Amino acid sequence: MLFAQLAVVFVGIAGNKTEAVEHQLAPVLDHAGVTELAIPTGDLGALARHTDVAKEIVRNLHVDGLIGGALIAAKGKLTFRLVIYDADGNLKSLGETPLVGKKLSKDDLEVLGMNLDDEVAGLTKKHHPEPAPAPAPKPVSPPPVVVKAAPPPPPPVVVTKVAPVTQKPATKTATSAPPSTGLADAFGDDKDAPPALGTPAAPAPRAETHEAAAPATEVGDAVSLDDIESLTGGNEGPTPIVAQASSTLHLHAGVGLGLAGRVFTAPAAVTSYSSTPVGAVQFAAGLEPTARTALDVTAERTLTMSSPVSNGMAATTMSRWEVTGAYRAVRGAIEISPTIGLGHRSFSIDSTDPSRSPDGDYSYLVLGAAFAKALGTHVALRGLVAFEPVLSGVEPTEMAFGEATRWALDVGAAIELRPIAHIFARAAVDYQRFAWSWDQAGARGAGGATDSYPSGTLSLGAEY
Amino acid sequence: MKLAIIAILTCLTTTPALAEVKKGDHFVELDAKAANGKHFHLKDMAGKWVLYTFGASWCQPCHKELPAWDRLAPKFKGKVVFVAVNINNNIDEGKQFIESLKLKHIFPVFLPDEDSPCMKSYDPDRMPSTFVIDPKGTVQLVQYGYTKGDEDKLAASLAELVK
Repeated sequence: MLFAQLAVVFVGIAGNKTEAVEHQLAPVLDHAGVTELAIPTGDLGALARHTDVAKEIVRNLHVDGLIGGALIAAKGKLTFRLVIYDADGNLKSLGETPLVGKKLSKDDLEVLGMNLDDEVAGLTKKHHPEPAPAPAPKPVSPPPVVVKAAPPPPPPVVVTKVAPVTQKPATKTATSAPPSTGLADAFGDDKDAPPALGTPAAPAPRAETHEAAAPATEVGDAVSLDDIESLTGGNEGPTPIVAQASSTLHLHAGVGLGLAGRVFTAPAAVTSYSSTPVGAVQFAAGLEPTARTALDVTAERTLTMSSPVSNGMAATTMSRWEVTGAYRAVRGAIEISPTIGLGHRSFSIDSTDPSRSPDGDYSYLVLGAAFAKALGTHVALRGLVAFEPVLSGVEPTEMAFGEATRWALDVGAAIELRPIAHIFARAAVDYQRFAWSWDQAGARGAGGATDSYPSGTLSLGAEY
Repeated sequence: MKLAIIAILTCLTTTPALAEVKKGDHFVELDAKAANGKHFHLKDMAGKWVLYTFGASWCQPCHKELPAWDRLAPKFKGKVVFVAVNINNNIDEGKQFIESLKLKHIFPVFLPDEDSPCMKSYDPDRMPSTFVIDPKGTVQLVQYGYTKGDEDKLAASLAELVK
């Protein structure tokens, strides 16, 4: 069984700049069913050089077999050495293959793969014999240079401590325990101590809890289960309120209802406008295609709106859309996202009354930053500040005052609630204020105009 | 100094014999810290299954194993607490390593002393190494190393254990 014991392990390649060969070997090792295992660099070097301590190192790992490697530089050429040990630490194979351009050639890699398959099968069969005879192995070409190991010298290191390990197979006769520091021995007679670790399978009594082996904690600042579950999204909790950057694609969408209004102040020659807030609907959606980027689109439109004109009330429409991209920088519970995009705002009165207030029409660039701050696990505050220079749009006053320079400032804030996973509710307010200035000499509109759009929205959404 | 004494006492009182932790043993306590400096103790996870895996930036298989466990963790939400125990001696390197993996569902803790008596019980010379303890604190599963596809086998083993 996988977790009862390792089978054959690959412990890495000693030397410098081994990444290319390791990358080449990865699929070969996968195919052979070899488990990757990291060991101390010194041990890896000892195994690759087949020093006196190699046998003990292998035995202590309790594996069916061990594969290691090394890159050896000699006379300006690189050679890849592959060593294979059996469970008892005997060197089964030592092969060296010259590298071509710091890599194994395709042919060498192919031969190496076939040999590894056979070697691994042989190592595992030795300790886990199959009931039925295995088919005869296919003849395999040897690698370019293969040196079958001579019988290794007897181990110079004597295993002084032997502890039976119950879950190890019977073929494993002994294993060395980690060296004692002497400190533990001093507590060997402590009758109140927890069960001795390393003694043969001595399960804890049913009543025993983690507390039994726990240190006396004098500090009150310990990590609790709640801390972990809130930070890892455990216990079916909500999605982290300020999402951590991840490599998976995220989508979100929401709809909301709210109120929107408009206040337009202009020079005396132009009719100003001020509305009471009216109902509006808002839609927002977005995706995060990469770990750090987000694309969002929002749109809103008034539901019913009318404006007084000389001959009664005229239907009025107020709408806005924006498409933005952001780079998400997450630092703990705070997210700061520089944002850029395009937007359009329009205000239109369906009337030909020449004395009415002019329409508004703005296509603008969004240059801003969004902020988010988690308040616990279910609540977050969000904010947005943007400078929005107007790129184009109809100017009803152009005939009278000349072309105006127009730009906007937009500030928004929201409080967001995530009561359950994948669902969020948001209460948001926004204030967008366009400024007009005429710089034409003698302009009657000196002093400019402002066109402000306050709004508030309650929305509900989902995210995945 | 006080912390050092506490750490030593922790290991002394919870590691009566230095030997490899294996299935059926009671867990050996860790004196690790979370990234925010809070102490992390396995005893505080009482009542939950806990999977904790030891790793370090220099351990190449850990670069594959931790993301694999992270993908697995949501399947056991609320049942198994996943903890990554980083044993880089340089805690800053450990934090950088953990951050680079962008783990979402594994709680990282740091135990920057691989030579401590506590750690020797977990045999840090074999990496990565994963332990699963039941709500009573008994080690129910031990795995060393990582092979591509182990997450499926681990998922099956965990499902069997926590059912």
